[in-house]
Order: sequence, then C-alpha cells, then structure tokens
Amino acid sequence: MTGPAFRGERDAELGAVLRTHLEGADPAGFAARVRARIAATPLGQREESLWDVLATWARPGIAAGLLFATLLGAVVAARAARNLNTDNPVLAEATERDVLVGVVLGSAR
Amino acid sequence: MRISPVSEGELVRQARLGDPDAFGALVERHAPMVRRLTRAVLRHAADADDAAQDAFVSAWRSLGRFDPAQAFAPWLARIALNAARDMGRRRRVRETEAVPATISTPDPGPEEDADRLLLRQRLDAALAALPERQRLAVVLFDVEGYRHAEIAELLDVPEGTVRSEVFHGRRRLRAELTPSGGDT
Repeated sequence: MTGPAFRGERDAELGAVLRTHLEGADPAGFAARVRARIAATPLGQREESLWDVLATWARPGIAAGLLFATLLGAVVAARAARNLNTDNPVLAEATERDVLVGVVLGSAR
Repeated sequence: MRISPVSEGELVRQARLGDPDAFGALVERHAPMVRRLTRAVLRHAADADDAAQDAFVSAWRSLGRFDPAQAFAPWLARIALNAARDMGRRRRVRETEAVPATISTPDPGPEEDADRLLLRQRLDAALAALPERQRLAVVLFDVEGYRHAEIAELLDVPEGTVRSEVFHGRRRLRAELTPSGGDT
C-alpha cells in the first residue's frame, strides 16, 4: 500500500480502507434501537443543567439589580444633598463661600 | 453525499421542538459517522455501538443547548467522542474486575474470505498500535473529511498538532499494513 506524500490533502486510499473497516453492521437495526431509546426518553426527562437554569435567571436578574442599584444611588444622593443643605447650613454656607473665593481668586490670577 | 444545510437545519429545528421523528432522521444521517468515531476510539464493535447509542441519547437530551447557528455534525462528533471515552473508562474498570479480555473483532461471517479477514486483523492491529489522538486525527481527516482546524477544535489541540498527528498516524498505519515493505 502506497500513499501520497503529506501535503495537506486527504489520503483517499487509506481513508477508504479505514472507512470500510470502521463501518458498523446492520445500520437499520442500529437506527431502530436508537429510535426506541429516544422514544423512551420523553421531553419531560430532557435534562436541564443547573447552569442552564441559572443562565435563564441571569439576564433579567442583572438588569433588575442594575435598576435597583441606580434607584438606590439616586435616593441616597438626593438625601445626602438635602442633608447638606438643610441639616448643616453653616457647612453649606462655608462650602459655598470657599467655592466663591476660589472662583474669584482663580479668575484674578 | 453532502446533506443540504437547509434540510438539516430544519430537522434540527424540529428536533429541538421535541419531534422524535425529526431526530430519528438525524440519527439515520449521522449514525455511520458516529459509529465510526466510537469504533475508532474503542476498537470494539459492540462497545462502540453502545457508546454511539449513548451519544445519540445524550444529544437528544442536550439539544436545547445546541446553537442552531453552528453545524450539527461537529457538535454530535464531540458528543460521540466523549461518550466513547466514557465507555472506555467504564470498560477499563470492568476489565480490572473481570479477567478475560474480549476479542475486539466480531466473528467474520462465512462470506468473509481469508484475505479480508487478514486485512481486518492487520487493520485492527495497526489501529491498536496508534495512540488514540493519532488514530482519531487520521480518521477525522481521511475518513470523515474534517478540516485540520475543525479537528483541532474537536480534539482540543492546536492545529499544528493535528497536522503532525495525521502525518505520523498515516505513516505508522502504512508501515503496520505493509510489514514486509511491499504494497498491498
């Protein structure tokens, strides 16, 4: 048995010999046996892995989490801003004065 | 014969919806390839057929996870290889428990003449002499017609390794098949 030098193409002769050698007997019988096993595996028994279940939850879960975090952040920021202005007027006034002085000095330079 | 991608895609779509007849049609189309691959791994006809059946059942169960945008055959081939390796592991455990080894080739029928029997025995010996990855590389390339890149993906090795395995596998197979150095 001789074959072509290896140049990246298929070795048709060797392939045909191997194909014949590896071929399974009684293809119709084999297909019938597989069909019988498939029929005995109804849809209800089709497996769904834990990761599949988690994956179905993941996208809406992440979206809801982001929305919740955004809303929470907005609420906290609004409350903090209100506290700064109402609960601590001296600090708010000082901050405003510092900012004003900074702006004036900055523009004078 | 090449299968029309449209009709195959339609069968896959119907099978994914739970149609066992559509899946049965896929079984008939791909059973020869699946059986050859499991046989190439296990080198035992009965075990190979058991593994091939397991592969189809596993594919049926996992169809929901199959991406219809991808080709069906390589996905199925990967499942078949996994099923065969799993069967091989179980067989090794079984063989350590029960002593006598089984004959790898079924008895030839009366129609099988001496030359064919001899060729079969030499092929069995030649394939057995190859490491599994080399054997699979040759079978996937020369028998099943996969490209090097596809085989690399199936076997989880670099493409260069596949090229090397095909080259060395062929050379060793030919050497085993021609022990006297002459042509067959």
